[in-house]
Amino acid sequence: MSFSNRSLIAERLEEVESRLNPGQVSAAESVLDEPIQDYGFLLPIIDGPPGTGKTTVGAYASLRGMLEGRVQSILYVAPTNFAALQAKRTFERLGVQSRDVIWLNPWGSRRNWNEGVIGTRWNLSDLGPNDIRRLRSVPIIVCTPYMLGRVKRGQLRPSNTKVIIDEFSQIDPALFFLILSRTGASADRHLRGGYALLGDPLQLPIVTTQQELMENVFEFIISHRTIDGGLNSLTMQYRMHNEICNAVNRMREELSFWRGLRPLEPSNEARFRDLIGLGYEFMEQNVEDGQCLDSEALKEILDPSHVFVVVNTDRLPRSTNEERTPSGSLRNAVEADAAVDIAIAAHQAYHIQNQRLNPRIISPYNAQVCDIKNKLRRRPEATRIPLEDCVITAYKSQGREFPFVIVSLVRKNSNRTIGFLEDEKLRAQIYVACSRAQGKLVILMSEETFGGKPLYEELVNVRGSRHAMLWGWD
Amino acid sequence: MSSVFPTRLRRQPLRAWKWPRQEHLLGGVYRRGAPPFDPFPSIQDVVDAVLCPVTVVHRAYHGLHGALTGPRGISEGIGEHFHEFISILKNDIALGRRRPDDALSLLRTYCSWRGLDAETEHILRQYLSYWLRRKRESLDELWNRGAGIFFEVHIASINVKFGRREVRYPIHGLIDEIDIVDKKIVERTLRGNESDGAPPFLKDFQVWLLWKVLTSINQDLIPDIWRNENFKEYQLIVETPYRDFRVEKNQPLFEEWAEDALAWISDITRSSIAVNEAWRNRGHHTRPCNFGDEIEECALAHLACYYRRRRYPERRSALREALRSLYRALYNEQLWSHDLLLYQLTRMEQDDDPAFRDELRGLLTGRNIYPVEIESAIGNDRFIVRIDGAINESLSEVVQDENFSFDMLLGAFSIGLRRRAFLILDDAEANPEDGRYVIRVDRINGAERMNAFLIRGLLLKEDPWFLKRLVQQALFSLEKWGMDREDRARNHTAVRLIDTLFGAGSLRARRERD
Repeated sequence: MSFSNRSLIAERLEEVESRLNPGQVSAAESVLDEPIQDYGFLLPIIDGPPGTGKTTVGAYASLRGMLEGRVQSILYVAPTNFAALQAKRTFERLGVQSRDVIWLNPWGSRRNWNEGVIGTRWNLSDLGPNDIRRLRSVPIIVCTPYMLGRVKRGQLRPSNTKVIIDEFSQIDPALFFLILSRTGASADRHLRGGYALLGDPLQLPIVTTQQELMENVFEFIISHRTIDGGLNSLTMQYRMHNEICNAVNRMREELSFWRGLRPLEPSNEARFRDLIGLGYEFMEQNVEDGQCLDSEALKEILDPSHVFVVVNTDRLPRSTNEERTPSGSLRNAVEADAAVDIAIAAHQAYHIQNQRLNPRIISPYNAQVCDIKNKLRRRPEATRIPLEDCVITAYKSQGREFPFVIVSLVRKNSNRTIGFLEDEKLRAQIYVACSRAQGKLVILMSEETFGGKPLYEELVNVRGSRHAMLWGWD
Repeated sequence: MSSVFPTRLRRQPLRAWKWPRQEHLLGGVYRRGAPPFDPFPSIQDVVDAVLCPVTVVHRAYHGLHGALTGPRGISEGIGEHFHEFISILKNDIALGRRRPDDALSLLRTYCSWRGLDAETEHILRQYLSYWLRRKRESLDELWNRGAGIFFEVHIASINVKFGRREVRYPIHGLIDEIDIVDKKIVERTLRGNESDGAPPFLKDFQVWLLWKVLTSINQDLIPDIWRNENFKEYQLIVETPYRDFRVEKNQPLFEEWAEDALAWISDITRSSIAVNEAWRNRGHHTRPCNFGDEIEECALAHLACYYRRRRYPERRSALREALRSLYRALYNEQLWSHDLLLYQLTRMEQDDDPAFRDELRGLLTGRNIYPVEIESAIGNDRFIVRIDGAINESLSEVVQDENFSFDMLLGAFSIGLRRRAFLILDDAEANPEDGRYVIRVDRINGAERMNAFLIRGLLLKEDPWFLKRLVQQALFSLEKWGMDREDRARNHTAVRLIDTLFGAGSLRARRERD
C-alpha cells in the first residue's frame, strides 16, 4: 500500500512537525507505538479540547507511521459521516490525494474513485472484484463504526492497520466494542496496528434514553480500571482569541466531571487574534439598520475590539418567547431576526482582500436553523452569503472553526425552562458551538431565562475582561 | 406438556398485554430507562417465537431476527429479490407495459438495475423458470384483466385476538400479495422442494397469522379501494416456485401457538428468568432442538445457539457481564424509538376515543408523518407531490439533516401499500419552498389517488433504531469470538485489549518513557 504522492506528504508532514508542541509530539509518539508492550497494553487516548489540533495529530501520526513502514494502512473511524468527511479533508490537507483516502459510505449511488468517495451496500454486492482489490490497496479508509461490517466482510484492511477512533465523546461502550468486534475479532488475521482514541470527553455526548449508553468509552474505561500514567492531554489551542478561550475555559470547568482539569492556553499566535488580526478590515460606515437591531446597536456588537459579546435577547425590540414547531423543535422569531441582522451587518462591514466575511450562525435547534435560513433567503442584502454552510446545528459544527460565530440559544419563556440545554451532558452543545469561533463570538440569550443557571452564569462572568461585552445586560 | 405441546412447556397465556399509557403516546413522559410497555411485535417475531422461544432472546438482545428466513448474510436476500421481481413483473403485465413472454428479459434488466452478481442472477433465473412453468396461464389472464393485485401491503392492528379469549395483542406485518380479483392472500417463499406435499415449515402459520391481523382491522379504517372486500372469505395461499398450497383458516392449534409465542415475547423482554426458561424450552412444540439434532430450518441454531467456546480471551466472563447490560440498553432504545412509534401510529387510527386519535394525529403530523398529495407522474418512477404549508415547514427542518429518504404509506397505517420514497430536492420540477416536491418511488401505479404520507422515524438516517441491532449483533459476535492457542492469543491485539480492560495487566494511554 503506498501513496501516489509520497514526497509531497513527507514535505507536508515536515512542515507540520516543525509546528508541533511537545504535548502533540508526545501524543503522536503514543499513537505510533506498538499496542502490546512488556508492561501491558497501550491504548493511546488523546484528550484534545477544541482547537488543540487532535485530528491533525491523529492524521500526522498515522501518516508518519505509514511513511516509516510502522503501519501498513489506516482505518479512521468517526461517529458520523459528516465527521468522517471532515477527517478525509484533514488527510487531504496533509497532502494525501483524494483517491488515496476513501470515505466509505452506505449510499451506493455516491461513488467516485477520483474523489475518494465510495458508497456500497452492506454485503458489498454492488462492488466488483476489481473494486474490492482497489479498496484493499487504498492506504486510508475513513468511515463510521456502522460501516465496519463492510470493511470486515471485504477484508478491506490488512492486519497491520492502525485504527484511529475520532470524537470519542460520541463513542459509547457498545460502539467501542462494535469497533473491536469488526476490526480485531478475527480468527485468522491479527490486527497488529492497534487502536488510538482522539476526542474531548467534554464535547458532544451520545444522545440516548439509556443510562448504560450515556457514558462514552473513556468514561467506561476509567470506571472499570485505572489508566497508568495519565492521558495525552493537549492544552495549547491554536484557534480562539484569549477572550473566547477564557469563556470556553469557564464552561469546561463547569462541565468537567473530574477535578484538576487543566485550562486551555491560547498559543501566542491566537492569543490576541481578533477579526482584525485575522486580516479583516472593519468598515463601520457599511453597517445599516436591520429589521430588529438599529445600526448603532449593530456597530456596538460588531466592534472588533469586542471579541466576546453576549446579547440579552430580553432587550431586543418586540422580543418574543420561543415557540414549538410541529416537528417538536423550537424557534424564536425575534432572536432569529437579530441573528440575521448581525450576520448581514458583519457580512457588509468586514472585508478581507475584497472578500466579505461569511459569518456562521449556530443553534442547538433545527427549527431555529431553518427559520434563520428562510429569513436570510428573504433578505436581498444576504444574497451573497452561502446559506447551506452559513447556518448549522451545534452537532454539525463539531470539528470545524470559523472566524466569526453567532450562537442562538433560542429559549425564552416565563417558566425559565431550558430543556436539554440544562441536561448534564447535552448542554455541552453550547460548549461546542462557542468553541468554533476564532476571532469573534456573539451569543444571543435571554437573561431572564438563562440567568442563574450554572453554565450560562459562567458564560457571562466576564468581570474585568477587556474584550468582552454584555449587550443589554443588567 | 400436552399433546399440543409435546416438547416444550406450555406458556401460561397472558392476562393482558402491557400497553403504553397515554402519556407515553403523547410524549408527556421523559424517555428514560426500561420502557414500561411490551414491544409491538411483527408477524416475523411471532413466527420465530413459535419456532423456538430462544429466537426471541436472540431477536431482542443479539439483534438477530428472521430465524426461518435466515439472517442477512446467509440467504443473501434472494427471497426478497424474487418477491420484488415477481411484483414488478405482475405489476407491469397488469398495466399492459409488458407481455408475459418478457419475463426472463425483465429479470436481466432487474438484476442489472439492482447490481446483482451473476450467481444471484443464475439462482433467481432457476427459481423463476419453475415458477413460470406453473404461472404462465395466470399471467396471461392478468394481461387480459388488468390491475387488481397489490404487493407489499402493510398491516397493523391493536385488536388481534386468539381463540375465545378477549386478550388483545398488537401485531404488524407485511402481506406479500393481495389479489382482489381472485380473492386471495399470498405468502411467497423460496423454501421447499418440488416433491413437498405440505407448505414449508411454519409458512402456513405465517399466512394464517397475516390473515388474522388483517381481519382484526375495523372495516371503517380500510381504504376505499379495499373497503368492499370481505377478507374473511379470502383464500390463504403459500406459494413456492414449485407449488401453491391452500391453507385452512380454522386453525385451533395455530391460535394456541400464537398466544404461547406472544407470552414468550412479553416475558423475555422483561425478565431474565424467562430468558433462562427459553433456553430450557428450546425448539418447536413438535420438534425439540438439541446440539447435533437441531431444527434444520432454523438459521440461528449454529449461528447463535451452538458454537464452540474458546479459551481466550481469558476475561470473557467479565466481558459478557459488561455486554449484558449493553444488550438490554440497546434493546430498550429500540423500544422507545421504534416500537413506541408503531403504537402511536396504530392508535392514531384505531383508538376507541376519537379525541385521543385527533390529539395523536396532531402530535405526529409534521413530526413523524408528513401527509402528501400526489399530483402527477413525471416518468421514471418520479411523481410530483404537494405538501401543505405548516407541514412543509416541518419537512424542511428534517431536510436540514439531509434526511431525504422516507417510508411511504399509501392508504392508511392500519392497511396500506408500503414503499420507500426518495425526495429529489434538486429536480427541476421541484420547488420545496412552495411545498412542491419530486419523489422517486416505485410500484405505486394505480394507487396514486390513495391518501399518502411519508413517515419519519421508522428508518431514520443517522443512528436509526435498526443500527442498534447491528451493534447488538457485533457485540454478540465479539462475545462468541476467541481462540485456543496461547501463542496466538498472547500476540493478538483484541484478546490482549479485552484481557487488559477487564483484567489486571497495566493499561496505559501514553507511552511509558514519557
